[in-house]
Parts: sequence; structure tokens; C-alpha cells
Amino acid sequence: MKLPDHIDPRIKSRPEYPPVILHTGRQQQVFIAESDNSPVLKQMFQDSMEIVGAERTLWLTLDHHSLEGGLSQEQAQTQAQAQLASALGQMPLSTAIYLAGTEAFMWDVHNWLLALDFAPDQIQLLAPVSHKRRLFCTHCYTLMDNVTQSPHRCDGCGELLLVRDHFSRLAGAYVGVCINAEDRTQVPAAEDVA
Amino acid sequence: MRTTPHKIESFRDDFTYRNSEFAIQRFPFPFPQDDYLYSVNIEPHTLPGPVGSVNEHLFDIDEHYLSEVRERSLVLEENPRRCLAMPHMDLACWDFIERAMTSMAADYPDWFALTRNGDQWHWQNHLLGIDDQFTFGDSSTLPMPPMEYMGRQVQGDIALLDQREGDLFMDAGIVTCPADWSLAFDAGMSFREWHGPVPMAHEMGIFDRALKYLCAIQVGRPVRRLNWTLTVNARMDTSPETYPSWGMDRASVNLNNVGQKVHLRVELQVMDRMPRSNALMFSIRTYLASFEDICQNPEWARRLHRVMKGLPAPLVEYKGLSRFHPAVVEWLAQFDTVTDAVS
Repeated sequence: MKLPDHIDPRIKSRPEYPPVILHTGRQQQVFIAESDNSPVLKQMFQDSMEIVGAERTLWLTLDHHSLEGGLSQEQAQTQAQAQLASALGQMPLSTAIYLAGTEAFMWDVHNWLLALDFAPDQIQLLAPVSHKRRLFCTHCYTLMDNVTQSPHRCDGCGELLLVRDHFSRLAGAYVGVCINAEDRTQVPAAEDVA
Repeated sequence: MRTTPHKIESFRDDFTYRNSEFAIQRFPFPFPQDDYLYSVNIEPHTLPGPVGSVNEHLFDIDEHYLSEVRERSLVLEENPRRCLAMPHMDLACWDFIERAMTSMAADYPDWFALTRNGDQWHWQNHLLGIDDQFTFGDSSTLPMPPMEYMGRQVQGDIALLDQREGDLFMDAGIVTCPADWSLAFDAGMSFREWHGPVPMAHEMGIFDRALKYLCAIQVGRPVRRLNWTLTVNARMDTSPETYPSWGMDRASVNLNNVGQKVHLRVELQVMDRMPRSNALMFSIRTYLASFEDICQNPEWARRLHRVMKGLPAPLVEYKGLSRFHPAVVEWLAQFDTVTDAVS
């Protein structure tokens, strides 16, 4: 069999995050952050304030991990979604939205924005602020946030999961598959995911 | 010739699944040449195909019908989320029901019957003892959601792909006998995304060409392709969901049991345009035959050896064959003595 000259080892479902560009021609500029941890987004926000002015520039910090407030993860997400709908419900069609935070956060917000009838080309995602991944256990469907190493023990079924690069934008998650199903005696050492 | 399905065999535990001589003769052997090459091997699925062949009808109902229906119900009992349909896919599900019922009733009149009076439909599946009347398009008149209702009455997996923005999206399906992919995880993905883990084919431009072709499929002009892998034991449900329970099978293969244990798993994939929703029905009809079955045919045995021997390492790994690939090649060599004498 003839092989292609170059084999790209990347999994093609894994999103790429090219540099984000300010679309100041758009009527409204919206910057949504998970917390104050994105200097790049802050700088873009400042630039926008200078170029188009405060009236056309909005900053929104959307913390969907409000566990400290006594909310469950699901409640916190519902609250964040409601906050988003309230803040952006009256935005004009010509709105540019910029997202920063962990990868899972950005895809959650991205999906909520689509549900609010924004179009994918209105939304730009910055490079994730960390290597933390959301992981989907393919055996019991448990979702786990802030995974940094592979293999990772599933919170739901206890299987030791290989953290793969195959990514679901709908779940904002990478897939985890039992790493030693073929030989239970093998327990590979955990390594950081990139 | 086709006979009325009557046996119920297992695809798990004691693995009582067996092929008749007829089933072996009509097995869709997937290798047209001695080496396996990725290609956009899509061709028109002109119906009816040759009498008795797997291509004769849109839905191939064979001697394993009752066994596969039972296996599907076992999988769904364990995990109901192996079937899903996003809300916007309701119309596509009804398209699927119409396509399946009308073609199955016409193609197998002894086994299925459909009577239509406007939107009042009467469906009889004599093989499963189903006799239902419902209002077409009204899901509340069915005993279960439409995707599951019809999916439980056909052999093979079904995915319904929503077509929008020049792409196809995995938005509904019933997937209980997949070759190692998860509908629950791949739900909502675009064509390139759900093929993300496939090695090499992206670089070869396979998916770009295939997507273009699939998006252009017209109503009433289905197309087909074959895909293949190897499965240890006659296990239909080789899903990632259940991998912890079957992964060790791969370590059980040795030179003495290759013939019985290793099965050639062939998917007849048919893509058919749905008229109301414009969705694409993607049916994945799986056929299993042990190497012993396959090697009754000397030409198949020889070719299988050559294909396995020349399989590129990335594909060996991607298809999950690494542990037993050497034993497979060594065992198959007995059917290809000329090649081995030369080499």
C-alpha cells in the first residue's frame, strides 16, 4: 500500500485556536472571560475601548464553577447561562464575541451562544488558558473537569482512562478510554497532557 | 436462497453464532486486490441487486435477523443511550421509518406488511410478532421514540446525518454493533470530526472527496461502500462503551485458535437521501465470518493473507489488531504457499 508522504499525527477533531482578531467593524464588542486570568483578552478589551469606545464594548466575567456559593455544577451552569442570556439578549445582529478561559468553559459558552441564535462566525475562542481538559468517560459517560494527566481514574466507573485527543465540541470534552482493557496488569505511569 | 429467519444465536458469552453455507457464499468479501488501499470506494447501490446477494435489497434481512434483533435489545437494556435523536431530527426519523417500512414490505412480503390510508399506517412485522397502527409523523402514537422503534426492527446500525452548511452532522442514530466508535461521544460532530481518529486518510484527501460526494446524493439514488476490520469472537457489540469487557479477547488469540476465534468483520455501508428532511441515512450492516468460514474459499484465503501481510503499521494499530496481527499472518500463510515460496 502506498503511504502518503506526510502523516499528520494530530487527531483532526481537536480544535485549533488561531490568533484572534478584533472585528471593530462590528456594532458591538463582547468579551467573555471565565475569570481574570486572560491578559490577552484584557488587552483586546482595552484596545476595543480605545478604538470603538465604552458604549460599544462589554466585558462579562462568567464563572460557571460556583461551587463555593453552595451551587451544584449543574445549577452554576444554569445560572451562568441565564446571566449570558440576560446580558446578550438585546445585542444587535452585528456583534463580535471573544471568549477566554479553559477549553471546556469556552465551548460551553460557545454552545450557549448558539442556543441564543448567535452564529459560529460571530464567536472567536482564544487559545485555552491552561492544559486542563474536560474528560468524557466512554464507558459510563461521566464528565470530569480539570484533568491534567493521562491515564486518569474515572470518577464514575473507576476505569483507568487513556486521555485521547478526540474532542467533542458539544460536550467540550476529550474522550477517555480504558487504557488496560487488553491486559489488566498494565498500569502505565501518569503523564501530563499537553 | 433466503430462508425465513428462525434461529436465535448469541454474540456474547457462549458465542453460538454460526454461518450457513449460503451465508458464507454471499459474504461481502471486501478486498478487490491483494493489497488494501484507502480509497473513496463509493459506488451506486442500484436496487434490486443480484438475487440473494447482500446488495439485493435496501435492508438486507438474513438468517441472523432474530439473533441480531435480540442482541440489540440486550445492548439497549444495558445502556439506553446507545440510541439517540436530537429534537431537530424527528422528521428524519420518520423519513427512516417510511423508507424502512415501504422497502421491507415490498422486498419481503412474507415477513413484513404495510397498509397506508393517508397518515393512518398499519405495520406488521411477522418475524417479531409486531402489529401496530399509528399516525405517520406523530411520535406519540408509537410505543417508543421513532428512531428506536424502527431501529429495533432492522439489522445493522443506523445513523441519521443532518446536512447543513455543506457538512454532515451525526445527530441521530441507533448504534449497538459498532466497530469501536461511540455514538454518545460522536453525537453532534461534523463529518471530519467524527472521522478525526482515522489515520492517513485525511492526508490522502479521502474525507474531503467523500464529503463532497455524500452531500450530493439524490433522493432514490443510494450509494454504498464496504469497510472492514477483524473481531475476536463473533461479538457484535465491539463498542468503546463495553471495551473493558471484551478488550482481553484480543490477548486470547494464538496459532491454534485463529481460524475459529478471529472473524472478518465487514460493514456494508449504505447512504440514502431522506426526502422530507434532506438528512442522509447511513446504514451500517455488519457481517461476521470466522477465518475458517472465509478460508473455505481458496481465493479469499490467499488474498486475505496478502492483505494482512501488507497492512501498514498505522492501520494495524488503528484497527486494534496489534496483539494478534502476527498470529493472523502466520496462520493465513498456509493458504498462500506460492507467495511464501517466492519470498
